[in-house]
Amino acid sequence: MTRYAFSVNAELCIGCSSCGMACKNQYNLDPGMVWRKLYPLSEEIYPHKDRAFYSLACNHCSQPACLEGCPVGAYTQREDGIVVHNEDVCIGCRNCLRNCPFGAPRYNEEEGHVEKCSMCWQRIDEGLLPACVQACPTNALTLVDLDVDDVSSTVQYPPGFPYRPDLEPSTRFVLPVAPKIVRRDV
Amino acid sequence: MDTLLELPLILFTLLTQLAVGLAVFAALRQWVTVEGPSTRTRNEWIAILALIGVGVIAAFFHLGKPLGAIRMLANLGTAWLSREILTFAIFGVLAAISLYMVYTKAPNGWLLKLTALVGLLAVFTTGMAYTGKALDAINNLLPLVFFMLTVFTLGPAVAAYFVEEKNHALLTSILFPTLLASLIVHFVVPFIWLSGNAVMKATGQNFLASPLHWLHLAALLAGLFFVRSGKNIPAWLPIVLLVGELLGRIAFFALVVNSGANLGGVY
Repeated sequence: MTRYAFSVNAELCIGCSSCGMACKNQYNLDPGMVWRKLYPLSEEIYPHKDRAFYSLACNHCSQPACLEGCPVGAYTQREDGIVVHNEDVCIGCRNCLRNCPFGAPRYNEEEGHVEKCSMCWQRIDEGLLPACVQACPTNALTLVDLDVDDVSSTVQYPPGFPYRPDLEPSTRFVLPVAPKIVRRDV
Repeated sequence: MDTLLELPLILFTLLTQLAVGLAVFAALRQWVTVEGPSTRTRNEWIAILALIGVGVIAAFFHLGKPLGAIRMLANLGTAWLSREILTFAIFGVLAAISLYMVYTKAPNGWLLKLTALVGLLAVFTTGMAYTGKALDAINNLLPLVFFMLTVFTLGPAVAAYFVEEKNHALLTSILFPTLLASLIVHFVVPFIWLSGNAVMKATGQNFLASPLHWLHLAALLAGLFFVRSGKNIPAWLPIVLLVGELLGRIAFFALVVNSGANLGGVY
């Protein structure tokens, strides 16, 4: 079996937003619409402002709340775990926005439907990497197979990310290393 | 959440809960006092049906693609929103039959009771539909409690317009304890939120800083002050309570913080 997931290495991430831009370019997203976004860690979690980030999109949960709550069945889950949203079926009731604690589904007011990251399943089916993963210059964002790859040194619920074991989000994280401050003796 | 975007849902939930409240007390009065057909009863059922109609029409404006609304019944297996649509559709049909019955013959007690029960079931489904997993503060039974309190506040209050003054005692006997319970619940809950996680705390702070919340409480307090057992319900009071519930409902939709708004922060 295959269980795809994003792996976010906050130690390697430099906050360049290439992932989000690649996503926008791949799908030609409307202005203001983002499927992947960079979230700086607050200073309570990491002591330096705007120095550590999580690049987040849909977490393709094992128990997706969006899918469960969607009244029209616009969400489906593939065997490899990818949660796919069908914009043509969606009627824009926005119930998924109330149900996803990770803020992944976004409402497109112009089109009257919700949109979200599809993990580029069409690219994956062609043997390609998701656009965001391919664009990451530091390999901070990678695609992993939870059933095959060793993810034992990663974290599923890091600080700055909602603790929702009932949904089993697939994204894995490598935490940023606390900085060492070196001062010259006066 | 964008409050303007949620305005249709604010109207839908409030008006349908008022309709259910009226249906419940119409059935209750029929049960207790065995009312015969009267203009007041007919007007009451016309009002119930009109409230359902306006509420449902308002709900359509909430959808990005209103023409797809019929597909909302597609996921009855897991989606409370689908179940809500189904139960309200049944409630609407039963309310229409009830109106027909009170127009043509003596109201059928069992039909009115069934209509009221299905109405309460519909509000139950609404309560479950709004326990959003992204909304930590209300990802529990609170929406159901809030909505039922609205049903049992607005139901007897507005029913006063359709009931002879000598029969107001039945309404006040339920309205007074409901107002007391509602005031306590709505006053206490934001303070409980303050002791929750960061998202719940932010929700509690939003409520305590909002005039919407305090005006809602003021309306409930006014109700408690002027509703007395054995006395009539003043004609202006249902309007004050309705405005209070409207403000409370706007607060419910506008001030509850979404968990996703805190990504990167301490939870």
